[in-house]
This record gives sequence, structure tokens and C-alpha cells, in this order.
Amino acid sequence: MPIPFLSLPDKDLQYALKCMDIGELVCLSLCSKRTKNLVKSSDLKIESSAKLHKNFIHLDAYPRKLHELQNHPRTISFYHYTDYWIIEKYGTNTYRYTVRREPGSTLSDWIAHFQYIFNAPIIDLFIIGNASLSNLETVKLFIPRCKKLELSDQCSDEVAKMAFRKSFLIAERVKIFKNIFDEDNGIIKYLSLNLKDVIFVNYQKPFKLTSGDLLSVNIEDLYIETAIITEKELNRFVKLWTKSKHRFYRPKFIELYLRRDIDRAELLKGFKYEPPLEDNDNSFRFKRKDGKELFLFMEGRLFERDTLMPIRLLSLPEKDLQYTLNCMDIGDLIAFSLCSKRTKNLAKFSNRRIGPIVADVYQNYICLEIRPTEVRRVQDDPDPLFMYLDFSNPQIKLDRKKGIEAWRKEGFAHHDWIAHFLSIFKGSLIDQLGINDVCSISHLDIVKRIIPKFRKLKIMELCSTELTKMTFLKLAPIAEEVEIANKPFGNDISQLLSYNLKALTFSDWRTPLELNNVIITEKELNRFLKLWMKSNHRFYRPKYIKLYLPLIDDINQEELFKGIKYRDMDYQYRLTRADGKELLITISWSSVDFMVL
Amino acid sequence: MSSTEQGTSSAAPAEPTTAPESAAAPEVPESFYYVHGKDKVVHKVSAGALQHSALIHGMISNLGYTEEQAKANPFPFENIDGDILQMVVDWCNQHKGKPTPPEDTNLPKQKEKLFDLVLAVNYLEIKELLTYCCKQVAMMVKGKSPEEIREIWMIPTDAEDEAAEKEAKKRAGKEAAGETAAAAGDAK
Repeated sequence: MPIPFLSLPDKDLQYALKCMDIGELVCLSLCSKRTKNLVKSSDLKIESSAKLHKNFIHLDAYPRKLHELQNHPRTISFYHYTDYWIIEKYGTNTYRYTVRREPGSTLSDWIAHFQYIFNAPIIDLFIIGNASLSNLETVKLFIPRCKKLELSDQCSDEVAKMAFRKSFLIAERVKIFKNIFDEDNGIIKYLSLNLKDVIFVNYQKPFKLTSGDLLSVNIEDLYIETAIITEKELNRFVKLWTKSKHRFYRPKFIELYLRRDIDRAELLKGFKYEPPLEDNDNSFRFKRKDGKELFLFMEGRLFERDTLMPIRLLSLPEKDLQYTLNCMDIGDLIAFSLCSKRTKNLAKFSNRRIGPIVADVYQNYICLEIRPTEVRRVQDDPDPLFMYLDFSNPQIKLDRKKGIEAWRKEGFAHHDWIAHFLSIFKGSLIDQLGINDVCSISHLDIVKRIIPKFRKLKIMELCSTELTKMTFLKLAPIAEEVEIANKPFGNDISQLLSYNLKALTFSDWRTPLELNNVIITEKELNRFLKLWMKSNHRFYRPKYIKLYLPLIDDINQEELFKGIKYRDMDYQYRLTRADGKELLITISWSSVDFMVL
Repeated sequence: MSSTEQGTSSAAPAEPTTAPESAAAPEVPESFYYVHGKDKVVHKVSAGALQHSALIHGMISNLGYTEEQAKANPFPFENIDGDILQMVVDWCNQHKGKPTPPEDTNLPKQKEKLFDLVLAVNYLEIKELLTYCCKQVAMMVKGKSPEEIREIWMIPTDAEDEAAEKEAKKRAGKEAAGETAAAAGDAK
């Protein structure tokens, strides 16, 4: 029953607004100018972030402080496409609205509206995803400033370089997940930018630094993970700093995460320093003539000259050897397995159990994730181990929390590494192969050669139409299951349904899949049921079909089962065919399931 | 708690401790046994400490020695170096009657002795100490590359393994031929 909401007394109106979540408030604000101002008056403080993708922009918002009446502190997401918004909320009361663009309104208007109603003139966090250069130029007009800029690992080198060079115009704080620097494009150019807070994070391709780079830094707070710099270069940096060559050196704090052991003696060689700070043997104080002081903190394991006496491990009694192997973590066990054929067999017969191996394909490498299933009370266990296979190099890189290591094995090609891992962990195939949007189509054949068999193929949501199609055509025939998180084939999915697969899932949450250009009707479903009942599909292979449909609670069951005999069993309906086969149909609020019994 | 004596010379057994007045039951005097390694140095160890070793515990139970008999007949472990046996005895004494913690910080520090220690502990069947030792062995290669592991654990390469296998086969063939010739000689 409609109510004249705006006629409520002001106090009650405010109370009602406080009970609404962000998504509801946005929808209300779109009704009229009056409701827009009303929402603004509710004075809800939010944290906001925007992510720029290739085809759309995604805004996330969550309240800074919850009203006592709001028990659903879920993030609300807004997806902006060319002519509509999708407003989505997960958790309790999950919902999704599609709001059509009004004629004449632009993305700029949407963002301005969003910022206006929540009194948030500056976006807190702006993330650049797999956007193009032209996207970058356009978005600058809509989001001229933000508190923090993040360049994700999905953006191309070109976009990352451009965005970073102009970052100081947009934000004072920048976080970058890509290493865009090489011989010609040194990090030094970027470290001299006038920024307040910069974080570089990349484990696969560490950031190479020299003392000269560190002396050129013009950023107040700098954090680099993972950095590659020798003790000699660090020593040189400290020495040059103490010689007061850089009176106006701006940085206040530099943190380098080396992920390796540090040779303390080499680092501190040849200069005087104050004794370690109290309670910390790994911190040192350096004084300059002008009175300025530099504190050096070293954390983690400091380098110790290895005085280990080698032992003849393979001569140990079998039981002790087995126990020793059980005490090793996965990374060490893999390293051991690569020593010789004998150690490979020992590793294999140690029967180490692991979780399913997952492979993800990126721009020019495959990332393998091996997860231990057991917690064995051994130091640093059981974090997953990430390994990287570069398409251009048959070596394997891995991250064991001490910097990226690269291993080679004579005669080993890419696919030999996969075969080796499967062999020592007694696995038959890679469990899941994920194709990410940054993967190049030209690499699909290489991927197929490296991983010739896997259980499930997952095509990620941001993959382009072409990439999705090519991936499906090339890789689906060697998979048992396929999940497609976008809509490459429009609504004509019939060509995909005929593939000989154990399972096929379409999980595009942004736009519902439509069959034959309409969201499937009760009439179409009724026709399907009738045809199935008439045994026209004796060799019909599917055992289970699940369709997520919008507004399924409104399904007209009378029309669905029109002319069909069925048994009603509380939201489940059983159909029996003349040949005795049975079909169980389950209808829930968001889906309809068909199961052949 | 252990006293070390040269040769098999006797040492006065520890005096039984006096039971406290408040104790409900009188304390049973602790019995001691004697062990020696390759160097013949005799170590006096309490029965409580020796319980860690399944091997020695089984020997004590089967023999039913008196204090005097135990003193006169120290258990000989000729296959264990004296300093290794000392480490084992020290560890047993430190952990006498105590539940063993999941991580042991009292492990012998001399890593060069680790291999011999594992063999000794395995022989003496001291399960908890063996567990710690094997963990120590595993920690030796923590975060190391295959090349480093090969060096630290003295792992032969495939080529070396193959050569050793050929050599062993050759030797076995020669031995078999020798035995056959000897048998033929005997028959004549």
C-alpha cells in the first residue's frame, strides 16, 4: 500500500532515512530533487572508492559509522555502463537494481550526484584497473582529485606509466602494484616526483635500486616491496648521506622490504655509528656534522655465515629420513625433489598431501598456487606457495618470503615443471585454470602446451569478448568443467551447450543471461519439460541444470506445469516419464533446478 | 644430574633423599644405571631419565639389575661416540619426568654432530629427541635452493648415483663369481 512518505513529520522522516542502507538511499535520491536533498540532509558519512575498468566504472561505498538501526554494514557497489547503473548489495537483504540513464545525463553527473548526496567531494580511493589510455584521459574530467590513487596489477605498462607520471596531480598518496621500470625507464625518474606517500608492491618482478636512486628520492614516505639492492649500495647510500651532500633531502621514512637475509657486517662496513638503540640490536643511529640523524632499522633475519656441516641425509635410517621430509614445508620439499631422481622419488613417497593446484594465466606468465592442506606445527607453515612460469623462459620463479628465487633444471621445459609437481604430489591434473583479462590470445596455445589437461577452466569476468571466445574454443575441449564469468556469445549460447563437458556454468553477475533474446519464460520452460516428457531426448546427457533467474518468486507455476502431470512435494516437483526416468524440479526464490534422477 | 666417571671406576651412588614429613607416601629411592660409549667413559643416569630411551628401558626391565649389579655392568654402546652419548644423557636428564614441549630449545648446538646424534637417538629409540633432531635436520635446508640442499645434505647427482649403482653391480658380480669359484673349489 503506497504511503505519502514525504508527508511524514520531519523527525520521523529522518528516522526512516537512518534505517535505510546506502543503496536504498541512492535509489531514493534519484526520485526527485527533493528526495536528493533529503538524502543529503541525512548526513551519512561514507568511505568511497572508484575503480576504472575497460568498459565501466565501479564505485564502492560503505558507511563510516553505522546508525544503531542499521545492522547491515555491507558495501554497496555501483557499476556504471554507458547507459545504465547497476546498484548491488551483498549480504543480508541482497539486492540489485538497474537504473537507466536519463537522457542528457553523463558519468560526470552520476559521480557528482553520488558525491553530493553523501557530502563526499573527494573520492577516498581511486583504483585504475585494466583501463585504456583514452579511459584515463576521460576519467580525469570526472575524478580530478582523490585522497589515494592505486594502480592495480591489471593495468597495462603504458597506462601505469602515464598514470604514475601524472599521479601527483591527482593524489598525494599512491600505491602501485606493477613494476613498470626497466633499463631505459629507470625508477629514478619516478622517485623524484613530489609525492607524500608512495608504496610500490610487486613480488614477481622486484624493484631494482641503487644508492643513486635512494639519494634522488623526493617522496616523504616511501615503501618498496620487494626491493633488490646490495648491502654495498645501501652502505654507499648511508655514507653519502652522512657526508652531508644532500642537505635538502626530503624523505622522512624509507622502508625497503628485501625478503632475504641481510649481511649486517657488509652494510655497516667502514663508518661510525652510534650504538644500537635500546632493546633493539638491529637498529643503528648515524649522525651528520650538521646534527641531522639517520636511523637505520633492520628487521628479519640477519645474514650469518653458514657454518653448517653437511650431513649425508640419504644415509639416515628410512624412518628418520621420512620424518625429516615430513618436517619440511612444501617449498623446501620441492627444492629437495629437484636435487636428483632419488630425491624426487623420496619426495613422492613422503606422501605429502596438498590442496588442489590452481593455475592463473596473466599477461606473460602462469601463476601456480600450491596450498598445504595440513597444519603441521612447523615454522612458517601453511601459507600457500606461489610459483611463476614465464612464457619466455623455462625457469620457474617462486616466492618463499625471502625474495623471488629463480630455479632452472637442465632439460626442463615449462610443461616438465607442471609434470614434476603433479608427480611428487601424486596429482593427476591441475584443478583449475583461470584466464585473466590481461592474458594475450597469442599465449593460449602456449598455455595449452604447458598445461595439456586440467579439471576446470574459469574465464574471468573482465576478459574481453574475443579473449573469452578464443579461450573457450581452444581450452574448453581439454577441460572437464567450464565457468564463464562474462557474456561473450550474447544470448546465443546454444553452440556452447553442445560441448561434451561435465559442467558448464555462466556466472556473469552483471547482466543476466537471456535465452533466445528473452529471459526464459514459463512457456519456454513448459515446452522444455513437455519435450523431455515425450522422451524425445533419450540420450539427453545433462544430469543437472541450474538457472538463476530474476524475480523467480513471481514464477507462474500453473503455466510452468500446464498440461504436465507432476507430483508436488513442497517447492519440489517430480515428473515421471513413460520410460521410468524422473525429473526433479526445485524452485527457490532466485533459481530453478532440474535434476534427472 | 649426571656424573661422569673415567673407565669403569665406581662412584658412590647418590644417597636416597629423605622424604618430607608432610608427604603421604614415602618416596621411593631413585635407582641409577650406567652407560658408556665408544670412549668407555661411564655416565651415571637415573632410571627416570633413561625412561626416554625405549631400548635401555627395555633392557633394564628385562635384566632386573640391583644397584651393585648395574654399577658393575654398565650398558655398552660401542657404536656411539662418547660426546654424542654425553649429549643424549644430558638431554634425558634435562627432560626427566617432564612432559616434552612441542619445540625444544635445549637441543645440542653443535650442528656438525647432528647426523651422528640422529643415528644414536634412533638406535636408543628416544622418540621425542628423534623428533626434535629430525626437525633440526629439516631446518638446515629451510629456504635453500636445490643446489644448496644438494651441498648441505651431500646428495649425489643422478650421474653419481648411476656410477655408484654400476660400481655396486660390478662388485656384486665379482663377489658372486668369487663365491661360485670358491664353491667349485670346495666341491673338488
